[in-house]
Amino acid sequence: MTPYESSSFFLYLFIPLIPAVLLGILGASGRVRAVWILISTLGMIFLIARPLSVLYQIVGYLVYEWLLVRLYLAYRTSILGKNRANVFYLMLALSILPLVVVKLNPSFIALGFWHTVIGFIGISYLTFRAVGILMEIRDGLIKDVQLLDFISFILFFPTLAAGPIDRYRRFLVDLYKPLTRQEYGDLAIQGIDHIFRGLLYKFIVAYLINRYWLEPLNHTFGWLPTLEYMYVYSLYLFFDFAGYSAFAIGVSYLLGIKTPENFDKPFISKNIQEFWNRWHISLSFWFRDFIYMRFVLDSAKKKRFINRYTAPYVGYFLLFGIMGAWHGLQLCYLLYGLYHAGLMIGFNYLDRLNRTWKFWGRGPFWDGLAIVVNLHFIFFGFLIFSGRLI
Amino acid sequence: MVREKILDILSDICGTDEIKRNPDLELFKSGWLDSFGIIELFVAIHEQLNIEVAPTEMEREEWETANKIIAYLEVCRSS
Repeated sequence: MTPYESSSFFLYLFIPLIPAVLLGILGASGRVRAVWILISTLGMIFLIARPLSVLYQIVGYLVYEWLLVRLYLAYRTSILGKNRANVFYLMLALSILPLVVVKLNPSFIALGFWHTVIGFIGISYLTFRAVGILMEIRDGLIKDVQLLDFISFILFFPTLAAGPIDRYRRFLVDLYKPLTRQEYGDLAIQGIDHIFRGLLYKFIVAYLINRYWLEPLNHTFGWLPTLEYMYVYSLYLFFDFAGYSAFAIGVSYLLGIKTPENFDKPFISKNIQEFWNRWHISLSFWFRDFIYMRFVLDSAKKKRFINRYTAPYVGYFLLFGIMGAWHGLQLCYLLYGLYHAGLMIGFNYLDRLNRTWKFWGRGPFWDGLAIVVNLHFIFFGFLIFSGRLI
Repeated sequence: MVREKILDILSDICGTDEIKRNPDLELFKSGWLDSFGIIELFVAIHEQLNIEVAPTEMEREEWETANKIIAYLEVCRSS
């Protein structure tokens, strides 16, 4: 059963949520709420992971990632105090291996090697959480990981399917945080707000857009319908995913976990950099912190490039290239990644030129123009992403 | 010592002496420091103070002002 798709899922949600709300209102201790989060996560996994073969895969994946984490922790906290880059990269490669296999599997099936379909819902998102832990073990920020906390974090059912992507240390603080009745009440009200927004976005706006506007366009071709498709698809994508995210965040809040926001009015961004601070935030920040920053910082320390702008530019290609491939290995996703890397570098370059040449100014007129121009660059990106062009 | 160094580094990166006059200035919200600037800050901390800071060590809100950065690094130094 896919989370937040069917009405029966919402009915099942009452089973973990009613006790969670009661515990919150009664002011139960952080530890008690943490136990309930673990129990309800395990319970909901049985519901979500159907058929049974999917459940086996999830369990296998969890055990595998757990062993990697413990192994790397043992290495990093041993008295020898080693921290070799090769070991780190090996652990990273092993950690993303299941995701790579799942992504490559359709090609193997197409080539006729075998017929077994593998993969389970959310594996792409779970991989971020596991890899994030390994990276922070390398940095010495995570010094211990308990199995039960690890299960709660990796499989946390509200965000299992498609994020938002949380961070282990942040999650853990929330998991054991004592909340007074008042604090929990405020959180729960915000949670319910989110759930209503999710209903509006996903089941009303996105549904109507898809049914009456996007669907008919799937069967008409030509220049103008494709242009219209670009606008409609972009709107649909936003309302559907922002709606899903609002559900996931709302349900997390009711469990006392402040899962990070994923969208912040992305279509009013004045440039592409601002857009990525507002669109799929938990994903873009993950890439920014764990790939882009690490790469640029490492390059600066090792003086890898002579020109000071080379490292950030290569970093953008790395960030968006991986982001594209993560969506899928189809050409449209890879192009989408490269397109955004190009936009980021292009904007960065023009912005620097603008400081001396003043192509564009300040004020409401320029802001309005910037929003409209930027919006079209973004929407064209979604058109590439949709696969309609290729 | 950490204080003077950090104020110098920040003034250099942001290209303004405003931060020296007001070390409680919100660096990210005011736009003085972007992801490009923060990397330069990490490198400068590494080179001049010999302190290693991991990219995900701090939430941006926890490092919002020069004073907060200094307080954090002074703890790092003494521990």
